[in-house]
Amino acid sequence: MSQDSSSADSVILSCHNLHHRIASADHTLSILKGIDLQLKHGESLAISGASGSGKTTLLGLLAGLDVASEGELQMFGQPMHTLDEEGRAALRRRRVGFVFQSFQLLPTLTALDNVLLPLQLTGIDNARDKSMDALNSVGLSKRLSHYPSQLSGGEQQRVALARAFAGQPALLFADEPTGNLDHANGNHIADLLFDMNARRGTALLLVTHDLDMADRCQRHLHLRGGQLQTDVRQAA
Amino acid sequence: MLSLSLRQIRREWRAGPLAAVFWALTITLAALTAVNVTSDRAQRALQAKAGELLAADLVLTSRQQIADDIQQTAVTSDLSTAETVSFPTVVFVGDDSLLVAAKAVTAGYPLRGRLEISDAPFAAGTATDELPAAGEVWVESRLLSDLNINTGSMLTVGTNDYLVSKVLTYEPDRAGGFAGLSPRLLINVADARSAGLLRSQSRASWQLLVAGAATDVDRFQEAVDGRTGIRITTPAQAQAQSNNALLQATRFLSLAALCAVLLGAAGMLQAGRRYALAQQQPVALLRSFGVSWKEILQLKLWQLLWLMLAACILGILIGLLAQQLLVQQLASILTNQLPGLAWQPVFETLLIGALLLGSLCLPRLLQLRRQPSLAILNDVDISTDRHWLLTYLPAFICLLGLSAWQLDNWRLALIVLLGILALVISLLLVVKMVLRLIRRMGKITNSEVRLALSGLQRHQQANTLHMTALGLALIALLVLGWVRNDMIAQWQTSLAPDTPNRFLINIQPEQQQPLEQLLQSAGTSQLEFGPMAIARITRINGMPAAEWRPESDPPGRRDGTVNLSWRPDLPASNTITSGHWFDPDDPSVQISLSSNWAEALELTPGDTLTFQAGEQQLQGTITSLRDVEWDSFNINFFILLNPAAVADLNFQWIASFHLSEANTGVLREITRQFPNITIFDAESLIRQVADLLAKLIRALEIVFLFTFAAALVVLVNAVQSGLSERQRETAVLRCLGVRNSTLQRAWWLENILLGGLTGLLAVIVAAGCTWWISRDVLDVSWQLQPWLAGSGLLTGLILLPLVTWLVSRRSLQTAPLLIMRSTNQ
Repeated sequence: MSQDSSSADSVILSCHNLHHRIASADHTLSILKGIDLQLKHGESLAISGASGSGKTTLLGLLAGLDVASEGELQMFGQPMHTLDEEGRAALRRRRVGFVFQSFQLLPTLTALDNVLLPLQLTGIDNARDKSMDALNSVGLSKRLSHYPSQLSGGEQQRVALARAFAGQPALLFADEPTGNLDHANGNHIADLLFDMNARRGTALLLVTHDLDMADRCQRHLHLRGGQLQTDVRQAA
Repeated sequence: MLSLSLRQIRREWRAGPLAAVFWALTITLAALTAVNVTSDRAQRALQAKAGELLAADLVLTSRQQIADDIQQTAVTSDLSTAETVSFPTVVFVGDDSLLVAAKAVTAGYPLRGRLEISDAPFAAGTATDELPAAGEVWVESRLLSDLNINTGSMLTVGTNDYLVSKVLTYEPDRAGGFAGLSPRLLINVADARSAGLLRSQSRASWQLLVAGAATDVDRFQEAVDGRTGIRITTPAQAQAQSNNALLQATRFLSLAALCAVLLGAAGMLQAGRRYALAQQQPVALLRSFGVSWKEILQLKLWQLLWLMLAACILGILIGLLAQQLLVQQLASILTNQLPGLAWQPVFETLLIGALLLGSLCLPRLLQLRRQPSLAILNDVDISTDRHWLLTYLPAFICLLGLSAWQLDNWRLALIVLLGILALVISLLLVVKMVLRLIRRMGKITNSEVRLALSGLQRHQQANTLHMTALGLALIALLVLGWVRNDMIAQWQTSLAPDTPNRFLINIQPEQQQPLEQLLQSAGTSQLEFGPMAIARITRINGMPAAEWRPESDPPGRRDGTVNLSWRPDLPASNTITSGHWFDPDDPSVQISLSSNWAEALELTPGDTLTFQAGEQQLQGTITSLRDVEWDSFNINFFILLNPAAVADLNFQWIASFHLSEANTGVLREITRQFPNITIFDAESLIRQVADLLAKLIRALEIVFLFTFAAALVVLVNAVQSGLSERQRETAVLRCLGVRNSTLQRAWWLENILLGGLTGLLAVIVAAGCTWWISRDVLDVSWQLQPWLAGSGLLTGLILLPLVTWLVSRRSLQTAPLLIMRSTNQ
């Protein structure tokens, strides 16, 4: 269930002049150079870019998984750049979902438990029913007690999708969700992702190098040289 | 959170590390419970009776009956008194005989505390104020079982027959600890006298027990203080002496348990590290979903708490079963019944469980807090090894504290910890060197052998750990088995066919002639008589004996009672190491000392000693030091004098001879004709010593089984932690076309080689250790023990491949595709 009380036009994620630098032994590498973006409620935004362009780093910073070297970041109207790790986690709680390229399912848990655990820990009511519904909605109702090692790559990512949507988040971050899948499975996952995004009104921030998938989003930005290019389609 | 944490344990259990933490903790706690409960029961047995250790408020001990005037002084001081006489004697049932520690007592004994008796052997006793009635004796359970009789049977003691009416289960002045080698027989003084047992008893210890008001006791003590030949024992002195063999034995068991604890701790550290590594992904994932660190920590703490409780319950149950076995091993050599179980050690075990888990596993889990959630996106492996001081310092402090508490000695704990650390490091280095040597072996064309040998080298780190863990446990068990066998073999072989096997003491001068005739007519061989006089050393080199080398040990040697003997010639089993044998033309007192005895007091030829023997004083010069072969079983003395110097001394004879089994009837005749003479059976003494030590070693072995179990946990852990690397390697090789059967054979070969090397290394190290222990500590001859060495080798050879196979069999049979897919994710 979304806790976001903002209207359909309200901005739920925005950043201004975001810089990120990594210091190595002999020099400092500037990965992101003054990123500005906004994401509205229910909107889908794709960020594409070549490998190593900093897409995943940007996603991590926007999700508050790390802190940018410089710049401002607001999520659900809260200044995230001023919060510590605990504060940022609290802000994500029950409102943010994730889908990762490498699925990130816990190998010791069944498909159902993988979906269930985050819901239980964040104290969501009827966690079990919601988890089963979510798995049912991705077509895995008969695979509840299977472990990740007993599932195909496509099935694993469907479990990850179910986990991401089960808590009905307002905002979903997806990092190359089809990056580890073949074409057919990739399309299937993409269909599910956009379908759920549309049906549940979840804002989607997608990082991908798959231009076809990026084009299915309402907006598509391209990351190059640490900076975001204007909307690819508007530019075209 | 409670139910969630329980479910999480169930979910994470099959992954391995949590189960390994659980088993390592369970075994550690089981070892501690077993030893601590045993030691607690022993200590409570002592403490409960601490006020009764003397059975009196003051005890006077002498080799002769306490003089009448002293007894009178006690009575006039308003003190109650009782007398006891303790002496060795032999009892007969039919043709069976047994040396017993007899104690004759007068009415009133014990003045403090109460005797406890039962009607049947090995049954719980009840307190009584009675004493054996005329014509009756009370005996310890052990005597009944050794002679295969029961209460109601008749025993021959001295010249008379007595009814065994009760089993003696507790005597206050024999508090706790191990009994002497011989079981107790309690008889009243009048019966002992009428059986001729108290006549001229040189080995008797006469005691006058007194009790009364403190001021009266003090006054009496002042009155008798300084009387020659009388030792006064106060309750405080008795308390100090009560730090006895049983406590020493339990301390030894504690040391053995510490090996299991330390190995179990290593297993917990190792499993805790694996668990923390396995938790990196879930923690990062949960944090990305907005779960706070506090909630994650709460979940983990609850999980650890459940785990600890389960491990504690199982560990305590196993420990209690094991302590029952330990007590059974010690039961037959304990004088008194041990009290029942107490809750304190159980609570202590719970506390230790929490401390171990908290110091060995929690620090690593806490470090997960520092892990950035971003790791979940980048697959960054956040090493929990970075903050090694935070990780290992709590572990070291906890283990040091635990060791110090176990051993009751900080210094010893530190030495033990560092010693074991040094042993592990040495073993690691040796194993590494051996594996490196294998790499240098010539080119081998057989592909399986080549794969196996290269595998040994490729998995060097894991293999080193496997070998060290199993090797340590094997060494511990081999050393114990080896030492036990060495000792028993030594005693069994030490008696040559006609070596003297019976000793007679307390022979009065007038009894020597008829006794010699009796023995000769009974077909004894190697018969030898020696004179013996009791004396005290009063001065050494002109200085009062008590002041001579006060640091020398034990003090009783320089100012206590000694046995003197004399003879013109050097005994056959003696060799002069310094000085010269007696000059027959020199009438002055010449002294020859056993070299060990002289060394302890730092005496050399030329030094002078003054003896007080009865009314007579002897001053002489040490003319020689001798090496004595005590195990020759001939009559030997620490101190020998030249015969000319001791013409007027009061003395007794002692005799040694060989008696064949067919002629043992003469012993009964000796007892009948000469009831004051005490017979020692050397063979049965040796058997009793061997039996006592074998039981102690068996108790140690029970504790070392925990060490072995802990080693298995470490081994399983090590195999599990290297499993994914193995799987990947196997999958790649199979993808590259190496046949599964080839890989399987190479795998077995590698593990058999590793197991064989472990066994071999353990045997070599154990042989070295036992060689040193036999030579320098026990003074027994070291023998190669092919059976034990073979079994050590075989255990390594079988156990290591078997455990490795059991742990990894499912993983190694997984299809390569699945492995490749899972490792690529």
